[in-house]
Amino acid sequence: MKILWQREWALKVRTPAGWLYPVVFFLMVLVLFPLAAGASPKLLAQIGGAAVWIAALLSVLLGMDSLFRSDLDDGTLEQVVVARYSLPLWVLIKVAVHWLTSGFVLTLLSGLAIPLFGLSTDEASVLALGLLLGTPTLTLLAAVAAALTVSLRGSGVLVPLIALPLQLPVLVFATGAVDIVQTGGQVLPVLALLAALLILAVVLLPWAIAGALRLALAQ
Amino acid sequence: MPDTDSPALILDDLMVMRGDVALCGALNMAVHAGEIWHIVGPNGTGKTTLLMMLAGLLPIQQGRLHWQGRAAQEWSTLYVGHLSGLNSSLSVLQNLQFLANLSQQNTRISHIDDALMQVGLAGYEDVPVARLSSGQKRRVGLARLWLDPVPALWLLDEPLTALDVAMVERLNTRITQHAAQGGRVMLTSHQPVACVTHTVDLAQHVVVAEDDR
Repeated sequence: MKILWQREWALKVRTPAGWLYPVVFFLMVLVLFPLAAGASPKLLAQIGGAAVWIAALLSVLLGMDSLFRSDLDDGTLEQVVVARYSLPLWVLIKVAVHWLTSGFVLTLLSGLAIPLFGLSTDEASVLALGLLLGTPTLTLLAAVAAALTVSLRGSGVLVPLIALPLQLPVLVFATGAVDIVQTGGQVLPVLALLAALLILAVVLLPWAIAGALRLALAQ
Repeated sequence: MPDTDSPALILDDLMVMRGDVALCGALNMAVHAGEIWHIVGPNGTGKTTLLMMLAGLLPIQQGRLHWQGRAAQEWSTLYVGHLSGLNSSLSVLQNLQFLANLSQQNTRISHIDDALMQVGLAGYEDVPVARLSSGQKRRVGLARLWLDPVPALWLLDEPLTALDVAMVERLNTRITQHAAQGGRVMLTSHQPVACVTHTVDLAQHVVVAEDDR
């Protein structure tokens, strides 16, 4: 299992462009949004949470369609199946490493919302906590779409089309959390809900992804 | 003489099918320990499909595949197919360690070095696979045959493609050695293979489409 983990890391290190691009995209939206939205600090603080979340959601979707493509094309997936290695476990390792170079980096960078959108430290911490709990779920849902379309050429458009409707609830709850802090409400129930969604996603979705990948192999 | 202690791999009216299309007639054969089977037949008769079904990559829709009553899943299999299973941006060593880890083989660097020496690629450990020639990639894939413990059933799809004469010779020796130790091998090749003990010709199993009656 350690070697599988190392392999995924080595792949991320050798091909940095693939995962840096979504991160840079996220940064660009974060920096450009306040510039374009005008100089009203009150308005910026109000829409800050939503803007960061939309940027995070789109950034997570970027590049997801190629998550399993090279493994299908070069025969790695075949070898995992022939060796009867647990496909859901392999998927989970792959998605986890991918999240560490995407969703997790976004969570760290979301601290920039304090200077850029004028969020308070409390608001920014709830935002970061929401991203920490929400982006893994978003990544897993996008991975389902990536696995379903892996054998189709030019499926870049299909992944967001399949994944976005499933990801919407996470977006709605998570942006709501920042609003609740701003109006002085209880934020814990919303974060608990995000955590519950994450647990469900981690337990169930690797099996769904593995099933979709098996279908792609049999074609 | 077949080794009676070790159960035979039995293909029981197995239909080689790709999707809904039967590529050749039902196969009935038993693969015993120590046997090397050469699957022959013209293009499109299902040689690769048969190997993929045996490897568990394609579902078996008609017929049965079992080890004298036991589920085929209980047996360790080594499959070298058309796709190399090597990621081109990783090094030879990283790729082999990953593949060895999957099939629960020894992943120690010295052990993998030995296997690379056997296929004539000593010193290539840290070279990215993208920089290898197609013959060298083929050799990296075949280096897994020299890793311990080697799975009992080998499924080799066109293993001789892109190999030079010396490597073909070495591969023949290795396959013979594996069979002598009670292993079994099924391979496809359009070239004659020196070490085979049995041959099955899929062309002789071609079905006449039932619609033709």
